[in-house]
Amino acid sequence: MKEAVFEVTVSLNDALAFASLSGDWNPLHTDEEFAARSQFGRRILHGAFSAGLVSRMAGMHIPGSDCLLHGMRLKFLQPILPPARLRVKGTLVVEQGDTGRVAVDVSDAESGRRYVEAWYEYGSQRPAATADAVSHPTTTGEPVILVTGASGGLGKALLARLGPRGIGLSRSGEGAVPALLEVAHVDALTGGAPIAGIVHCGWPAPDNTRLTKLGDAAAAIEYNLSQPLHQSIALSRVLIARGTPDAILLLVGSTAAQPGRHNYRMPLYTLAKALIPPLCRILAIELGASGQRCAAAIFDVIDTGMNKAMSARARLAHEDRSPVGRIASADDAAAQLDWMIANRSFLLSGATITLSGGALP
Amino acid sequence: MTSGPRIVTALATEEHASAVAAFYREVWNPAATTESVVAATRRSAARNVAAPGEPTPTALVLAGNRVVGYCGSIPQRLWDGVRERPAYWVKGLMVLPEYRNGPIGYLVVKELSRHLECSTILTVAPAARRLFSALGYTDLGAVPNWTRPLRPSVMVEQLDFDALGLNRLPNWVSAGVSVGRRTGIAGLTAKLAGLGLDVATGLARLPTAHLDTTGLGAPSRVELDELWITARENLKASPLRDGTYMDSRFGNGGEQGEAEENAGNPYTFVTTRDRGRLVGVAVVRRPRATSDARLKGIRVATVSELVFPIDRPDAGLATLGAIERMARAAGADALTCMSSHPILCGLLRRQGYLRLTGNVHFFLRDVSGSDRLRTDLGAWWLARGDGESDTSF
Amino acid sequence: MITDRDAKLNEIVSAVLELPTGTDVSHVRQLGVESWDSLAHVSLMLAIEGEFGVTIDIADQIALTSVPAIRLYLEERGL
Repeated sequence: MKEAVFEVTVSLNDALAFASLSGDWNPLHTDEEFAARSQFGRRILHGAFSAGLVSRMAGMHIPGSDCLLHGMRLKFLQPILPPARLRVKGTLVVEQGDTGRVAVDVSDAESGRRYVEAWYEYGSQRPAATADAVSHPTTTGEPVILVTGASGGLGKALLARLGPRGIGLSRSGEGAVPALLEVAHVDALTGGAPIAGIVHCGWPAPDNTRLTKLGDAAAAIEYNLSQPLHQSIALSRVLIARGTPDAILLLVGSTAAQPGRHNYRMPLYTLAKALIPPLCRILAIELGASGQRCAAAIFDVIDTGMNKAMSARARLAHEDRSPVGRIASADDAAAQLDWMIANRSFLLSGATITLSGGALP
Repeated sequence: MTSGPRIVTALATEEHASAVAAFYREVWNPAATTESVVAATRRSAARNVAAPGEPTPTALVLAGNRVVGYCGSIPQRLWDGVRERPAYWVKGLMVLPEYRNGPIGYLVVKELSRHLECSTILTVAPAARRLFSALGYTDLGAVPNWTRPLRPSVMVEQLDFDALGLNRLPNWVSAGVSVGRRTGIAGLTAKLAGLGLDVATGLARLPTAHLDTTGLGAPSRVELDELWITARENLKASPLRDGTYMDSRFGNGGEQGEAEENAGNPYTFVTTRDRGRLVGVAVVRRPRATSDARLKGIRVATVSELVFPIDRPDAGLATLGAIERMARAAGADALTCMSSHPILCGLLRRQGYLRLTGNVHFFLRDVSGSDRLRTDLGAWWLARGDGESDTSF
Repeated sequence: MITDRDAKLNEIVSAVLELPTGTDVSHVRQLGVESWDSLAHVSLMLAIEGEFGVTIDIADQIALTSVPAIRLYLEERGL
């Protein structure tokens, strides 16, 4: 697991400098006499100073020079009383392509007392590794297919198949979009071309943290469950506004949502993917009012992205679950999505199709 | 370098109730709850005839906190020709689909067997039979199945006699069947054959005319106890069939299992009395489409229980007659009965039952040190309702 | 060239699964062989433990569902 650590000494002058930069002259941070009468007995460092330390972790260490900070959250456990020697440790907990999430701990370098617990999400301002997987907007007026998660293995493979009619959307790199896609953003990307389909591959990667061990359950739920649901709703609205009469929203699910030998080792991922079948049926009804459709494709393990690093033994175990002794490649799965996109029938709407090659649970 | 959750075997306690309920929901009963599991456990402990008050042994294999393998048991008492012995039926072996063909089935049966000094099994599945044999259970063999056609025209049209192993049919049956099928008038021929059969079996029962088989309802526990005490004198090996067992298993106080039997108790008692004294009793399970694929959907009533003193063949014949009348009244196309005991088998033949190739194997394991329990199948008095196998197959 | 370990493993697999003599078992998988049932699996694990002097944890036994997987397991243990 990728980690980075740095130490920094903060002095009373640092507190004054921060007050000067930020304009926060609250006497608890700047007035010795006032602070002496408080419960702390002396001046405490601005909580937001720690945000700067988090920013340093992101900009200088993980991911470093190409970092584009998307968001951060901090929890102040104890006040920092300068002068103090601080130890800042960052741990990369999720990485998917050029994006990721890092947990940060700020503690006393000598005693180990924890001051701040934080996490941040980042993207990259560097173009995606295979830039040709992210297509440029078409200007021909022909219907296009939007693919979210374009920087992931499945997204890239699908865009390669779709050719010029595919438009990739990701949170970073070319085609970078805000957290929630809106109609105005889409027009800029599509050049006004109608949308024949949206393939939603951009779900958060598996997080193996047990539910009862989550440090910040609210943040984890927001990231893993709420955001994907918001995104699906936003994409549905885009489809209604800009979709062709029989346009389709394709949701990409996983067999990890069902019981199996995985024993729910990725609980948040399982919960998020478990939403897909009923969400598909609900959106099929709502999109049906405008003649549009929603369907879902459920895959088992795909040999791409997060799964590339699996051990030889894990790989064999997955192959052994398959009646044909194979794990699907990104292109195998992309071919199935292409097949579903090509199916223009209304009967596909509301369908959740498991495309696991018959793999045992 | 193990991956995945820790695998452990355990004997189920109330602490496992949540995990067991989750397992039940996955496999058998979507409505199972922790509370229902705890309640059922306490109920079975209260009724445990093998070890009164003790929970019925149930073995689990757990992957982390999840039950992935399960094997239960049913308390019973066995008669060994001299005395009663506590024992258990092994029942309900189940492994989650994603764990099958691995070590789980073996582990769970092995764990259960550790806690059972004396146990029996009735099972059909070949894979399960291999497993039980490997774990020290002796396969006493396939218990013969017997079928009495009540509406032969229906059976002739639907049965594959070769698959059923009916290669030694009475001449009048096989001749009638082959003529009927060649000429396309199977229904008529079978009706005539059936009529002949009924007349013949009726004549066979004439010596029982002095016995009363018109009684309705279950006998009292006292009567059933007296009948059992009499009947067991000439039996070498049998599960106990006294009043307590009969009442709890087949009476309205019993647990009747299958969800589809929500119209009430599926069992009906028939009795034979000699000047008021109970000399024969049977329990018939109401007709339903059979689960035996070889019998192809015809409605079959099952003789789940049958007790009479084997030195009173008249009582046996009269009881079989009562069973037949009851089954006809309930709309059955056929009756099925299971027996390996030569006395009963002889009576069944006289009453027009056809012997089918057996597919239910009887297993026995006794590590108590006593060698009294017989290992020849013909010594055993077995019935279709034993080990609740009339609910499974 | 086949190693002694692989030759022994193949011999055990052939015997336990009762496969015809001469069958190439080096890539056999549980899903593809009818005789590889629960009892055969336990027998296979016991035979491997006995032959190679290793104790196979139950969680690992569940994952050893093909000859290649068993071979890799033994390799990882320097056997």
